[in-house]
Amino acid sequence: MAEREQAVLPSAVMERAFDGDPVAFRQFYHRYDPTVRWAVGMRIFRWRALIPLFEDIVQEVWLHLLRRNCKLMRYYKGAHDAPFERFLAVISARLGWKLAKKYLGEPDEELLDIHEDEDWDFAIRIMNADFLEQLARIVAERLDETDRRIFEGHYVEGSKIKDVGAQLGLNENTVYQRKRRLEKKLTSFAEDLLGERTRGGGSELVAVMLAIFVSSVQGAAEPGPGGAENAEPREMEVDDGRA
Amino acid sequence: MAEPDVASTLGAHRALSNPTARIWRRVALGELSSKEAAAFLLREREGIGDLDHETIERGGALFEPPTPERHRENLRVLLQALRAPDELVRETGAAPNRSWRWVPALAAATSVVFLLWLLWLRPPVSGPSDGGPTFLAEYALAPGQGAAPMRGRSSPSSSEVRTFVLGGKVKLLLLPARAVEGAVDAVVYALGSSGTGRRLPVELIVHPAGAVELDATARALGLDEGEWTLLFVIGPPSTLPRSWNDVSDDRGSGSYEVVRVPVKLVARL
Repeated sequence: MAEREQAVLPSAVMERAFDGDPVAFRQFYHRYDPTVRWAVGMRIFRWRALIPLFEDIVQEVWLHLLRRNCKLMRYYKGAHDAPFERFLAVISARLGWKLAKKYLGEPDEELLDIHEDEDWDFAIRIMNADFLEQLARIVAERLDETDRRIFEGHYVEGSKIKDVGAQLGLNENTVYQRKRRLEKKLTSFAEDLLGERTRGGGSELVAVMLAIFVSSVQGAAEPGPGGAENAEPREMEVDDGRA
Repeated sequence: MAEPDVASTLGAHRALSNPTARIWRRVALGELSSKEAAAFLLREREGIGDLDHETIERGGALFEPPTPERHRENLRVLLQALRAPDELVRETGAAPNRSWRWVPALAAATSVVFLLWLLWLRPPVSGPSDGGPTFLAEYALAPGQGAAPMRGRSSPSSSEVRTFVLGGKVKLLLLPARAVEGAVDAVVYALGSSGTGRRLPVELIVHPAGAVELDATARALGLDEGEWTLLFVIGPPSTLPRSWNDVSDDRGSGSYEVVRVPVKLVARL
């Protein structure tokens, strides 16, 4: 099942969309709504109770994306290696998951308030393309089996902590404590990677890793606003028939 | 730095990278129907892990593109949001910060957005007074509301008292057990030991699928420390009672629903 490349939206159109130009935003929305819906859907489709709320959650995610003059999306300034679509998908998936957990009543400190300020700084920094792949490899290599299963169950599959605990034969408190330690470990791994990148900074190595990552990620053919200048954008395809 | 950031971001990245995700993405793009995708996944057993047949078929329908009408409505609401409410919170700098000063403005903006959204989505009101159907959505409090129970315990039942700190926020979410058709509105009253209710001066958020949310500071409710019963009255706008004296009973008159939520306001936990 080969994937079809998605059309590139010129960076100028995206900038105008972020600035509130309704025509440009219409194009932007046509192009990226499927991405947002898909990313959010991947976080909630396992939950029967959330399916009737899917449209609400997607719309709330969009509202978060538009908030503060599209601030979250403006973090993507071409300094990031991942295609904009991937960047948007990861952000949307995170927001969608937080909203999903809110609706599910998951007792998690992340649920404090999605409307409150959130420090996306570090998350944005590690969203460089090769970073997450490297981090994923480190998780696979360095975490013990229990931590790995907690990570897979809770953070990847979106299972509740108590359900992960039940699968592991651990009580909720134990899993919660391990989860906190796991978060510290992952942060430490990420900081190490950032440090290595800063110190080493071999541009060739980064370029090679980027190429590997881009080729491995679905839908990776599209550059974002900052990358479009260096790319060969295909003719923009906007499905006006949908609206 | 928030430590869950790394785990959450990596988790999202992984969730979007598995083979199942790629198939669902094609559904989202309109290249495959959810049925085709489900059949493919089940036939190939490609990356579906422990997902059962029902989850794949049921969940897969989520990824189908929205109807043109839905798409148009959603876009219209977002255009409205893009133009208006961010004026309250627009910033000149792009760098993120940890300041919490904008939280009240943001909460207000969020409320405005949802109200605008609701206004856009509202079809003509059809309630019992117009010959419409009886309103029966069977609202219940979503789990995990109020002060969190000790970890390891199950979520409190709907009749348990939710505790909130006076200096903090009161956040309650009521979910309908069944789909809500048409416009819905909601108001909330506080019932003290005297048995007399008074309407609270807060706007409830009514989500398009019917979920009703109270999100306000405890101070904004104007309630003193102690135990209260919050009485949510939910139904088509034309049928909602205009005052406390018109609220009939726990099930309303069939034209609206009444949900009681006992709460306790404390100076500190």
